[in-house]
Amino acid sequence: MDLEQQLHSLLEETKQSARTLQGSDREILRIAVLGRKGKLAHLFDELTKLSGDERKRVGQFANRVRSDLVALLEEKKASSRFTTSEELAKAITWSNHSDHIQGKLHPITRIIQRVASVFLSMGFEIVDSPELETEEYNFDLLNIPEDVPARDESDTFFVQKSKGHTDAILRTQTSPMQIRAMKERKPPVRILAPGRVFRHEATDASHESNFYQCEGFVIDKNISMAHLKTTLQTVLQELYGKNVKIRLRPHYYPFVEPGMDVDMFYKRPGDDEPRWLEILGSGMIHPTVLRNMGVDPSVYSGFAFAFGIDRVAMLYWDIPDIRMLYSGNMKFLHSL
Amino acid sequence: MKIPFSFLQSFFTRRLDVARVAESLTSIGLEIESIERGAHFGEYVKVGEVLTVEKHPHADRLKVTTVQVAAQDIRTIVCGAPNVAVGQKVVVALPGAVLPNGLHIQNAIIRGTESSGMICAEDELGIGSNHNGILVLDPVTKIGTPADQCDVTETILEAEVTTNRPDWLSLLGVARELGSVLRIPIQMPDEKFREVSAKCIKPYKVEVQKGTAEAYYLRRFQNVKNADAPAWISKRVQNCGGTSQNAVVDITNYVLFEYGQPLHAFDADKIRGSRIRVRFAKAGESIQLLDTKSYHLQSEDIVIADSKGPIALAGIMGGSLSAITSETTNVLLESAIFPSKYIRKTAKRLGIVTEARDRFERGIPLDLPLHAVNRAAELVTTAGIAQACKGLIVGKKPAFKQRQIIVSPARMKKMIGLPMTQTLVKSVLERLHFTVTKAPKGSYKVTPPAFRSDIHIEADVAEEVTRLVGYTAIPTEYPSMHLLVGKKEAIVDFSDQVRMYLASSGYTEIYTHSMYGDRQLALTFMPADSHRQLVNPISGDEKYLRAELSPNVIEAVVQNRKEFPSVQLFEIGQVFSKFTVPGTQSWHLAISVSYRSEGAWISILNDFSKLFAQLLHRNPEDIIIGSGGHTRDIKVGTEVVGYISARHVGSVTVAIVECSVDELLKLQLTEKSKWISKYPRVLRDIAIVVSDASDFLTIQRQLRRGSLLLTSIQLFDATPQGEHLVSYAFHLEFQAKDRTLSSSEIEHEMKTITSCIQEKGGKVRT
Repeated sequence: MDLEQQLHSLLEETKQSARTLQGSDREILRIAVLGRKGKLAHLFDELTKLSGDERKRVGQFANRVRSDLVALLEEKKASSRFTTSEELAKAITWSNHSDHIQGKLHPITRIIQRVASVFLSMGFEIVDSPELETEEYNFDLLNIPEDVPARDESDTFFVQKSKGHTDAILRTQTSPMQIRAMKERKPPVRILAPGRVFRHEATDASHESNFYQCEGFVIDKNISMAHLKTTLQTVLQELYGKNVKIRLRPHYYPFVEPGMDVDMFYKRPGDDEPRWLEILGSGMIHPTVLRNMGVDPSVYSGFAFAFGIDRVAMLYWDIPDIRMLYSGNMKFLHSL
Repeated sequence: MKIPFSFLQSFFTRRLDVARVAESLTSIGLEIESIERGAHFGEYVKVGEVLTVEKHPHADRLKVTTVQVAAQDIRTIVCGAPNVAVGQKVVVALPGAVLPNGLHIQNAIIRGTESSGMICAEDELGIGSNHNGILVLDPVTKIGTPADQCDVTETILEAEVTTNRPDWLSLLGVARELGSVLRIPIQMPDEKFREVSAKCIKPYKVEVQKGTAEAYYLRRFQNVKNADAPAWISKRVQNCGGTSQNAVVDITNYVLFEYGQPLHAFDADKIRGSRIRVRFAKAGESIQLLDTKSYHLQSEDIVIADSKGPIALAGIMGGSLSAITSETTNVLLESAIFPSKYIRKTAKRLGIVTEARDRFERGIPLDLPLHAVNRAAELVTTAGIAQACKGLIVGKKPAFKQRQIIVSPARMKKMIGLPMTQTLVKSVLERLHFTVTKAPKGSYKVTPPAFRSDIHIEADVAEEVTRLVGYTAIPTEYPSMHLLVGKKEAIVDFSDQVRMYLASSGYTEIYTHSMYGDRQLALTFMPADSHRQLVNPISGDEKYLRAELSPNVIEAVVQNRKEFPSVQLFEIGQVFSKFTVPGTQSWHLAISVSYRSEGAWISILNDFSKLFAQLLHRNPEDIIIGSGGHTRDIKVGTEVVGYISARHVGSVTVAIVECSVDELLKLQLTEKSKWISKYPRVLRDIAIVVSDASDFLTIQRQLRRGSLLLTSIQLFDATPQGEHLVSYAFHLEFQAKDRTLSSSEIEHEMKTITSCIQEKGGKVRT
């Protein structure tokens, strides 16, 4: 075997060994190859025995091999130094666990932030709203007076009266924030309010007593249902892709007129075929509600919409049971 | 609501397609949630007529029958049913048939007699649970008809009726709407019948107290037969979800499902006196209803009373006293409208749910009671159940109100964004049975039909037009809106910052319920009476509104420790104190950790102080930890923003920080740029032994006071030192703006620091 071949096979063999060796074994390899009396030094000694042009040619190749070997062994040596357990122990003291723990945002937060970023880009204001409400805001001012069947009080959590304080309920929908937000604003407005709502019903895989809704509305001059459709379509395209197929259907909500539901043609992971899934309720804000906001319905019009965040999260990650979202179970939360 | 498809079909002469009907109804707002298809039997299941029935020679309980299933096809079939009889039309499964329960029918020899087929019972056909006998069909059914084409099974559409459309709670209402959409005429049910003079039933006088009924009619029937209602009536009542009882009750239920008008039948002979009063109940009155329970009445309840007292709870349920029985011979049929708000209140208080309540609550069109009572009379007389007596007893005639709405096609076009010409608006509204007349300036004056109680304003009319044109026709049109800046409200933005910071620092965000019970409360030191309680909790486990996040968060930490050696969780959520005013909110943050190893308390305080410094642009030493034991206040200045605490739950140690997000946000300072020195920094380590009652932030404050050249303090070790002492070790960083620090300067700084520490009782280790 001539010198050139020997150099070549040294490089290949070292690469092979370096792949599997760690720590001190690797250091032994480094010394064996690059050490003062190592294999490479031996081959360089051989080089001097060659003559003139031959030495120059093989010498250039030998130098390339050396720099490859140095890069291979010296660099790895440097990075492995930081991973020895002794080093770690010194770097971390009382909380040697904390650096290994993975943190994670809750799926509801992640969906809300994603939805919010789309609406922020369209000039919506993301606002906060109260979970403890009065019947007046949750029902009456939203065109759901006491004696109409739409006022489904059986779904409502009532809160015990505390001395000297108003009766309270847990809001059954995010809609009361429409009235509250307009107390301190004047049109034109574009508002989005994600938040927790409550329904007094037995829980199962698809029902929770605590869950999240996202409410949004726009009030301006000349706002039409066509604008509502186009806005929602744009948002859904941002969230689910350009090819999303939607279907509009009349539906009744007391605080909008006309009202509609939006269905999306969606293939769930377990299904063979896509199906129409109801994902949004919406409509033109009812003139009575506009008046309750202090907005003149003969000058302004607006649309409103709301959708369930949990449902979006469940579709997105294929979560089989809504209750898992409120279980605080790290194993589940880290799997998403 | 259940819509039996053949019932719906009976309003139309044109053959309807199930899928098309479902799609059409959904597209106009009556959402069909599911379609329950009738069973499919195939070619080997047919109608046959029983020709002979004889006892089986070798078996007491079996019979040998001959059944004709086609002109030239008479078979011997062994049958075990007790009710099989000559002349019956029955469903026969011939050899080769596979029944819905999986049974394969073959020729067989049963106890020595050859049997070529089976006469089927309901359960074998998969259409009911009845196995007491074979299914007997209407005698007019033709021999040989495939069972698939008989009324044996029914396709049922399940519809979600929104509360604004009480008219959809009837087959007639659904058919009318479908006719409008598909533009096909509907056939109205027959309401004509013959009256005879009353011979067996006395006249009644009806008085209606003001405000108790909007319409009230009674009709008398005599010579009532104790018989079953025609099978098609009972079957439709059952398919709509009702139960079949006796002829009169089945017919009242039939009209309820067909027209949406609840009717009530009284046994006339059990009514005491000849005077009937519709009135509010008197204090102390009670009544036993058809469900056999007794109810105490209040003055907001409406009753029907005879001379002795209440005989029915109006609009909700009849009394047991005057119920129809097999002995009933004279009937008084009531068709009325009771005010929905009273029905709602009474039914809610007494907890009674009936089909009648559901319909009265939503409202009955004013013209319906008269139509309904006539329809019932037609059904009763045609079926030969009873004779209708001359004269309708009128307690109260409805006062019809004409509701007129001025609508402008131009304005509606602007509202919807859909081209709405005058001709389109007029033709669509007329299809929906509205009366449309011209009004000034291109507008229309429209009057909705009596059954449309939901139409009040122009927007309602606009929806009607859009519904029929189709929501799918709404064009795509981008709004041209004012330039508004998209932004998050400060608290929303700040909460998101906290979330992102903690998640990237190794904390997992959890969401727990806004309620808890005594079990979770026991994990904290909060008294129960500092909570707002729910009036109607779903369970005792969730009776308190959370005043803090910690109870549920601690529980989650403990649960997770069963699987993980190290747990770091946080939650941000609204909390409610006893004094929280509805319509206001307060936000809390809870951070909690638990490790297999020691150090939870210091770890969480260290993490919290870093979050505080990072997000509030402050020094971590601004945090002052109060004195105390397992739970200590977290203060900034004099303001308490939260607390830090440690708990032992079973074998698990949990450390938790809970604080007000609103208070933290108030403490946020404007971010200022810091000077950067071009001179080198000098690093020194220091270890300080102090009483374990003091926290490292206090020590950091003392260090800070000791030197102006100190630019950074980092805790890197905490080790207990025997009895009640702890050693904290810090990395110190010194740097000057204008010069390189000399080693003698650093020595001087370290000396000052040391004396500062010693002054406060700490010991500096070297």
